[in-house]
Amino acid sequence: MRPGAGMSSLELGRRRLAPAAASGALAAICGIGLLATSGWLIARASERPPIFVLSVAIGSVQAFALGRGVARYLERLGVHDLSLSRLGALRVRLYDLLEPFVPGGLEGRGSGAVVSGFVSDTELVAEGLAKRLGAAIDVTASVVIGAALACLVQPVLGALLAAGAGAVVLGALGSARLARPGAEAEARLRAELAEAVVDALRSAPELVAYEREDLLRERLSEVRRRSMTAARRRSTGLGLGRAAGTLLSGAAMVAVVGAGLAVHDEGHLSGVMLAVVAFVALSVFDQVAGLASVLGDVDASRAAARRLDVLSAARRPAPEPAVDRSPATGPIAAALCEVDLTLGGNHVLQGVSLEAGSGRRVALTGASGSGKTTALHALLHFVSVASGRATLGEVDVSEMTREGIARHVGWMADETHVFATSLADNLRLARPAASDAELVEVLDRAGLSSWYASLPDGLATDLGSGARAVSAGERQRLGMARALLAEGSVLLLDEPTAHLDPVTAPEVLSELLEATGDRAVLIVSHEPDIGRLVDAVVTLGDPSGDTAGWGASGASEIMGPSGPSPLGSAAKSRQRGVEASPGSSEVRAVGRVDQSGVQPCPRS
Amino acid sequence: MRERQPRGGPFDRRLVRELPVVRLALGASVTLGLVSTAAVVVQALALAHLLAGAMPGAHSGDRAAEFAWLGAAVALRALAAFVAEAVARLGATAAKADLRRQLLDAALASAPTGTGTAPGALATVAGRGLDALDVYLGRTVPDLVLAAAAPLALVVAVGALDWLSAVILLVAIALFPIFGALVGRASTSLAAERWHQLEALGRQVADVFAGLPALRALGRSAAQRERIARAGEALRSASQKTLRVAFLSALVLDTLASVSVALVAVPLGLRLLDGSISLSAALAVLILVPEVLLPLRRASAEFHESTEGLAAADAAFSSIGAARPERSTRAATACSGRAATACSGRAGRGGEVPDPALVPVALRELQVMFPGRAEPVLDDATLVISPGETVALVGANGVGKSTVASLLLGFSSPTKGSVTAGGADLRDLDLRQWRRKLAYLPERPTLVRGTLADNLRLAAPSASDADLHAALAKVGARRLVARLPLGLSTRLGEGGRPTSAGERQRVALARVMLRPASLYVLDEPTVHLDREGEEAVLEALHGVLEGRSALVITHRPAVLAIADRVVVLRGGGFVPVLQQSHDPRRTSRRMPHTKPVGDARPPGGGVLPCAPVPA
Repeated sequence: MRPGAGMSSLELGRRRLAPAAASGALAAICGIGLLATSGWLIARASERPPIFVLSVAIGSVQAFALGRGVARYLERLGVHDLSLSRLGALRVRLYDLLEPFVPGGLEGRGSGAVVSGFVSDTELVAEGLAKRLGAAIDVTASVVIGAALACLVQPVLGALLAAGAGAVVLGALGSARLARPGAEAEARLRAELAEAVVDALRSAPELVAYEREDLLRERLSEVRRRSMTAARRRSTGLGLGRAAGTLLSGAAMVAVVGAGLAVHDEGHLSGVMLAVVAFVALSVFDQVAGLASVLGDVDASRAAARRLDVLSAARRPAPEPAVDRSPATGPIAAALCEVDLTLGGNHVLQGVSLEAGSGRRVALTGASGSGKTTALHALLHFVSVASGRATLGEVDVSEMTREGIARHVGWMADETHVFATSLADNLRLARPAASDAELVEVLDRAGLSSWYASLPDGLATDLGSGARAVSAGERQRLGMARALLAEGSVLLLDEPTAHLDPVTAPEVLSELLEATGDRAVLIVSHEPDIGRLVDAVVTLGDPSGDTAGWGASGASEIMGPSGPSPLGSAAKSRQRGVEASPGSSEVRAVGRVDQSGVQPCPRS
Repeated sequence: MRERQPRGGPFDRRLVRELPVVRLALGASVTLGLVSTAAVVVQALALAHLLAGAMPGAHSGDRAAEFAWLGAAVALRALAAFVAEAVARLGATAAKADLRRQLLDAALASAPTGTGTAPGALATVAGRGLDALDVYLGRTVPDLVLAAAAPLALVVAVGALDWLSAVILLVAIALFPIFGALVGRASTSLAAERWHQLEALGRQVADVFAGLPALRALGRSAAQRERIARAGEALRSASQKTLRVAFLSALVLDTLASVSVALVAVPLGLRLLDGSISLSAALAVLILVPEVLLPLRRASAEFHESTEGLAAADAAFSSIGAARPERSTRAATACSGRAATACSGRAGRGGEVPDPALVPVALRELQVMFPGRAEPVLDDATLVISPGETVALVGANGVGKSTVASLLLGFSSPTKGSVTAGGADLRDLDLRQWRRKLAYLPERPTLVRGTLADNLRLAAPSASDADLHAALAKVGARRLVARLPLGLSTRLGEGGRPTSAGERQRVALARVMLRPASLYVLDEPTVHLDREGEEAVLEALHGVLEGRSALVITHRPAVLAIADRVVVLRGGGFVPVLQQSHDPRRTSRRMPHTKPVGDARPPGGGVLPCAPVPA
């Protein structure tokens, strides 16, 4: 599908559209018919004909009255059915669209909030579709049927009625456009306000402590003031829309009646039929005049559709190959070789090399933002490297499919998502064929045996019901269990002890690393004693340590004009590694030149 | 797509009571609605006269005058529509802004205590949540109020033309809410169970999306795609069943509206046969009949949509209520923000504020309850910080460490027990003066919009540029200033956006070190720093804290080295830690300042101003 198409456009199945459109047309016929027949009845009755002349009209009036409600009901159901099936399709499409971007591909904001924002955007789009579609069917049906009826009576009047309705529709569209910049500005300001609120609340303790509460309200009131300006613009647009609708439909009504009187004066139109045309016009313009307020309502859905379009047009961070070239199952090494990587214009990794072979445990440390998680994502092919190679068993990950990578790599994310399903299903995601005994064993290895014993239904316990809340620490251990269960011979662990207290964290970490067996392990950790537990420590970031964390990327400091020589960096890392891990046999340093002796990059 | 019945009626009286602008806008909307209704009557009469005049044998009358009336009525309606819409929308926006201000003021007042709504949740309530009021106040409420007034006004007009039609319409108007309520109640109870199903299906979809990264890594994302598709289809068919019931009330009301047109039109026709009513009156009545029930039909549709607006109003009011500091018999429990002014009113009572560097600061037999939590966070907890002592406080996440900081700063008060400085209870002291003797580094320090110097001087307004440079050097940020285009005058964004978490932490550390305080309350001072950064900072901190009292909350074992004493917060109480057994390396790392200072220095030198302290 062409990027940008599909999310916001009205792609409707004809099969589903037909019932909604047909019942909409029926509702329009009944609505117009009710007033037109009533008008005829009254006008004709004033000529005092015999009563049987009126009997058909009397019956029709009652039939139209009853039919209209039913037809409307069916139309509503049809329109909602359409919008719901569209919602289902949108969600599947969103899933396909989002899949390549999580985690970490959404301009560095791969958080759950962004994803759930997109999910609710699909709801807004579907809701907007229901509103717009309902209005479109109602307006089209009543204009077409009304104009056709008027044409039958007198073609000039039919044409005039259609033209008038067209003017009203154009007026509604124009004023909706007038209101739109205000609505868009409001949406932008809403995001800004949310940020300002969060900032203000977070900074409140510090600023109160320093007696600077004034700073808290300053920015908030500025955002509020600008929101007011935007709202004024939107309100004016909406007001003009309603006024234009009323004015244009009123004027068109006057024109139709005036023209009808002129034709009547020429003797081409009876008084009774003039009344009929007038009531047809009343009914049609009544329907069309309401269009402006519907159009004003769908702004939110337009904005949501645009966000989804931006997503569908975005470049995928790591395209998957069609053919899987992953190595045969068995012990393999994971390696980054001279990797440069950019995210959203920031150099996150520069010249990073590291290797974890079978049975070896390598720790990845460094200040926040130095690219530790990104290094793991590069090995998982969640992101593409700009240059250099990320390999598993000497095959570049860009030549492996997701399934291929999953066969070789177990991953524990920094935040583990527990699915709203049973404990067993949560674990079996990592290995569908695992036996119950294996699941219990892996829970034990992740330090969850006492927690498991406390569960009411054992492995069948539903973890999503809310009855069994899973704490942050338990969730993390579940992530460990899942990673340990995965079949791959490479294990990537992203801060496995981040949610544990400093007393228990080292214990859990050493148990975890013991449980990894002969796998190749790459572990991101802030634990100060990590050096004792692993074979090597790789430190990302500025080797001088002084300005670690400054700038977009610590790693970029190596390349900066003020950075020290690579030799100095390696020496420093070695010294640090020895200090942190007396037991480690070797230390791998980061830099353009690897000084530690072992070379993960094949020499070319 | 949600069409739930609002409970307890479609109005939230608090909106009218608390927000004067809502009263004003509503009054204007209803007045304009009635003006518009009058114009509708004029328009109907003019049109009826024109049409009746065209009948054979009828006197065609003054057509120009009728057209003038018609035009004037249309113009008046358009004008009224413009003003009514703009006033209603602007009123909604103003009401929203007012509510937002109240909400944020209340939230800011309680923010330092840590007991208010979470910032993210509050941002949602204040942002997207309040936006639901746009439609609610901008359209739903005016329509509902107008639905009560306009139909009756129109019936009076119809009655002047033909009393029998007026009676029929009155019956229809009376039946409208009765039918609506009956059908609505039946469909609500039928639909309630289905809504739970729908919500469960919706959660399934959200769950798969939330776990997408894990599914991808496990190579299972394709299989779960099917689950999304299945859930979507299930959602659709379940929704259809629900909507079939939910739309029944609309069906009944729509039918009632169109049947009343027929019920008026047929007798009109029959009475025209015997000449008991004039044609122009009959036509005018027929034109007016749909207008009579239109406001009611619109209101019944809006009635469902009011749920969202009501929920938004309720969330806002309950957040305001929750955030408003409660008054206890002894003193205000939260003395911060605007409330701090009230607290400082008792300044004279406690006399001079004691200096925490000279007297012990004691947390005695503390009990702290959080709203919504059954278990106390702190229970019978006692901790005394002696003058000049540095106490390190450790403990698992969520155990209440930051609450202790909040108590020391006087942001919150214990449910039981006391916080005293040299025997004086914090609740009797002028908290502003007390805080002037304190330096506070929160868990998540902030950079305010302004220059780097502004940010540093927040804590020490009188510091010189040289002081600022010295403080930045202490935390290893010397090179930052060198690299910034304007040095200390470089502007930093709100939330410190151009800077990383590590940079932010260093600026905050420099800020806290600049403050000439007697008691330092530091929450995770070395978070976001790498090992060497941490060592440099600890060395500097050790110098700053010499002769001052301090409570240092930390997760990092290295920080324990600068403490005189380590205390674990566990099970609601403070448990002392025997230093030797806790960290065997402690003895060797006890004195970071005994290491050669140059070791932690960046290449090229730079003098750390903290002189080595004699061991």
